[in-house]
Amino acid sequence: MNAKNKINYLLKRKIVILDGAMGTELYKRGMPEKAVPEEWCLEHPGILKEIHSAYKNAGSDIIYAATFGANRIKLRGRNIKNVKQINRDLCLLAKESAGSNCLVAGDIGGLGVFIEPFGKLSFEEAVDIFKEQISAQIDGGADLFVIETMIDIQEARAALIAVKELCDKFTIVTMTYEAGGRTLNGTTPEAALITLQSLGADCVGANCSTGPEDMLKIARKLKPYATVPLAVKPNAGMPKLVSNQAYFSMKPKEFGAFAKDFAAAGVNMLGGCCGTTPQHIYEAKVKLTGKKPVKPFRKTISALSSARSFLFLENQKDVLIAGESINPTGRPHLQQELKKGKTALIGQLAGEQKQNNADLLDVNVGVPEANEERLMIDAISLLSRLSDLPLAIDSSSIKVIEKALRFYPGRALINSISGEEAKLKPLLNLAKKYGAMFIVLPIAGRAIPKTIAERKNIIKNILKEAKKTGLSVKDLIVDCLVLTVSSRPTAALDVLKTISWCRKDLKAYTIAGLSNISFGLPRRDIINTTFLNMAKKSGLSLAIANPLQKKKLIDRRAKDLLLNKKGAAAKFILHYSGSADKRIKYEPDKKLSLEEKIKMAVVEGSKDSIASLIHTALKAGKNPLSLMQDILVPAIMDVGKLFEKKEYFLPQLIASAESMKRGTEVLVPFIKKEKPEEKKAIIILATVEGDIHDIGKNIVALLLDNYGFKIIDLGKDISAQKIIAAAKKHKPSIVGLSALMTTTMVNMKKVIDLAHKERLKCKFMVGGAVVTKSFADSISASYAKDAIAAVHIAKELSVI
Amino acid sequence: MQEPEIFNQINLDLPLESIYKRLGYREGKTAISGQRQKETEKIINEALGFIELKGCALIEPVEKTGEAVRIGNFPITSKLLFSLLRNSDEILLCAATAGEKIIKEISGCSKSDLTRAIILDAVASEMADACFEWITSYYNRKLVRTGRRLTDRRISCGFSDFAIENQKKIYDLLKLNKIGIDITEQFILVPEKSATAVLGVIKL
Repeated sequence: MNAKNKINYLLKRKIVILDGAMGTELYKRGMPEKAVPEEWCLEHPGILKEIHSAYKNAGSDIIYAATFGANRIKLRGRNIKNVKQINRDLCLLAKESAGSNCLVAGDIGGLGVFIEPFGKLSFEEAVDIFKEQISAQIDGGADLFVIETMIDIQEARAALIAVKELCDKFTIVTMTYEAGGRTLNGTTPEAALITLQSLGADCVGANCSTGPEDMLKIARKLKPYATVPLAVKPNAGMPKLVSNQAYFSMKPKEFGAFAKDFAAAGVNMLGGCCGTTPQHIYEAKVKLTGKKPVKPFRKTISALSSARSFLFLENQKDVLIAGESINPTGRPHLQQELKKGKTALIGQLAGEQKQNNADLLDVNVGVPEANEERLMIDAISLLSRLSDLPLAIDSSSIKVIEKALRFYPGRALINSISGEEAKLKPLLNLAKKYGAMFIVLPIAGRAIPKTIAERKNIIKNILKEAKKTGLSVKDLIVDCLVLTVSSRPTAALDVLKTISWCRKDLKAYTIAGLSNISFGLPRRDIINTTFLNMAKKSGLSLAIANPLQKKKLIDRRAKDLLLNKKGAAAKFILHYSGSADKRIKYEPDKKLSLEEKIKMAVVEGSKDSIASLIHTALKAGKNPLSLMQDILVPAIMDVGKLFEKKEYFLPQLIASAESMKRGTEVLVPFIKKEKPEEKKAIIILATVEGDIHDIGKNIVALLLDNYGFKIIDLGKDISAQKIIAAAKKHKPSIVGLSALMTTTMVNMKKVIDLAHKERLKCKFMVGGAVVTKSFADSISASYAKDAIAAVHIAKELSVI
Repeated sequence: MQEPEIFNQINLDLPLESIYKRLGYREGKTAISGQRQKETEKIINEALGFIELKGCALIEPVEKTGEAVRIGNFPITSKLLFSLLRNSDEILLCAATAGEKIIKEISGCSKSDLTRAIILDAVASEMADACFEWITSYYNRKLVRTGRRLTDRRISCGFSDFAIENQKKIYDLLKLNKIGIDITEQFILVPEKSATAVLGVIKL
């Protein structure tokens, strides 16, 4: 029986016991802090073998060779070049200790640098570095591999691909999660599991993240989605700080007491990480003796993942939306960008689609005369950093799809695989190798199948080939091929029947690009939305559509048209021709009076509507001064009170202030005509010399302007001399100074001292993150803790 | 002296709760309309396109005499720092920045659309802050395997008696110009939303 079969045999019968910590055991036995562990182990083989043997004797079925950091990058940093020899020799030492009943895992740790798209090291270079380590461990007799303590899903992928391209040995991958439940790079446990098990990991889990209690939570999260056994290696608790001294607090018996809970949570391999000892492992093993392992609940899973998150297709209550905007077809601006090799617009499109509740993003970057391979990798890099939505790789080129799948740090969706013979097998092989899901396009030649029977045959053939490759119906989504009803009256019915057949007979998920259905017809929005809801009733899983169409509209005329009822097309066109393709717009409550609407525009911060509302009011003969004094000013005062009571947050306050300002700008010319301008109190504002932070001062300026002060804003990094010169010129009631740093705060005093020296009569108001009331008092200035407080102080000091 | 470790691209989850908190949102008190929330989150998402989180860190041995701490050739006198390092022979110096693009975007709209500016500003501040948590977690992961970890507390120049002038020493040790950070004569890091911090390294 080879090692892989032996492990699989063990997993059916028991919970496999892994070993415990190596690092903390080596330090206990005298390894100096600055030593390179791998090198020190080879210099002290007796100590290393003693630790391995202790774990074996404690009951470990698998021990890890001490090769965790033995990769080219880490060893180069310590001036060690013989990477292969170190890996081989450390595996041989572990084999000597393991004897015949214990297996040895080649241990692969992180490289200590981040890999693209999250770092600078190229993905392929990372794969090569891991291959160097792995091939030497194979020479040293490693029975299996463990890729552990990974914080970056892309690095885990690179190591796993390296193993899979070199051998068929059993491979465990365990990630390390932070207290918030994600890796340091933001990957959730479920996303990591979906990515790694689909890529070929034989066992997935977590290590070193935390103590047993929190790791149990991770195991429980993972089990429902796992198609492979689960492995965990918790620490002996988390290091605790007492009197600024840190230590691992969990004793062996306490650690062992968690073993039964891990077994119940469905963990299939259990060991320990930092702080654990052979005694911890022994205690866990004793508790697990005779415990039956819980097998994975499922053999397949229909789920996609990104570097951060995942999308589970099963049991969805609503149709999922695939965002289609990242596609140059019909988008000249995107075409131009892509031709120049730029991908910035893609980030913006992704953000907009996410905002509109897209569940995944389709990525197509194919434009003539551009390097599609490069653009696809750039787009994936960008989207992996900016978005947590899974991606569908949309290309007609096998090469582009291959590059993309290899690089994509998640489980992707291939869009698409058709019955075209030349492409079918190569693409299915890629889907299998990289664990991707794929969209089945029911086209076999150039022509679109005319009948539903033809579609079904093509789908069945593709599924048959997929099964031969080791894929299942759960790995695919059928594209129901939406044609337009204006040229093919049965188009909608064909789609609806295909959806029903896929769901009921094939048990397959379905996707449809809905907007094609209405091409050439009026009120496409009504047809599309109606069609979406009809498709949903038939069991559609995903739609390539505008998320706004999710609203539950089924238009009777559109429904008849889509069901190809007699005369329905003519009736629909007659009814809707000339009707504009309107989007839903916010309509203010018609019951409000014009004055109330203006007040609401300020209170709600509706910057775009206030000017037109005021113009309407003026045309209706409303008095401009009254609009200002009786509506705008009370409105902004109400907003101030709401902010003070924390019922409003800062963006609401500022949006209201900006609305007020726009309203005021409309009214002022009319008020001036009616009444001579009153003398306003002047306030000079400045951020003091050396300080470049001015957003707080800008907020104060806006609010004071709202309240009728004349503001002279000198800007930021302004010297005392310039401020005083401006004060002499404008004779303000108040000078307001802001500073964010302790080093620049002292310049406020310089301004005030200079003002005294120049015998200026103005008063001073100060504020900013580091400024306190006591500091303000010390320089004889008033202290404004925020913009509203600045308004109150300004009113008091200037008495307007 | 070792070379600092540079993180050219730090990926973080959006700290939405802290961003709202920074903007004055208080759970159970503040009421926001759906439209306002949508607009706010649109701007928050846009901010992500402008923020380029970078970091830099270095572990250095420290010598302690009296109340002075010496890092390489740099002596620093600070009771606060001394207390932080009372069980440490090493110090982690670190820095983080949200990059220049976001600052340009904020200043570009701070007159024409202040609502947008303050939201962008809050996102940049919170993301830069969260970088320190990330750097701390990253180093704790590395250190725990060598029987060490970082102190829970971190301090920055300008806190208490840890004088702002020390910013220049940290700037030089971390070679912050390599991640696009400059320092002014007033010891302000440019671009805005750049900061440094120090933590002690303690043995387990």
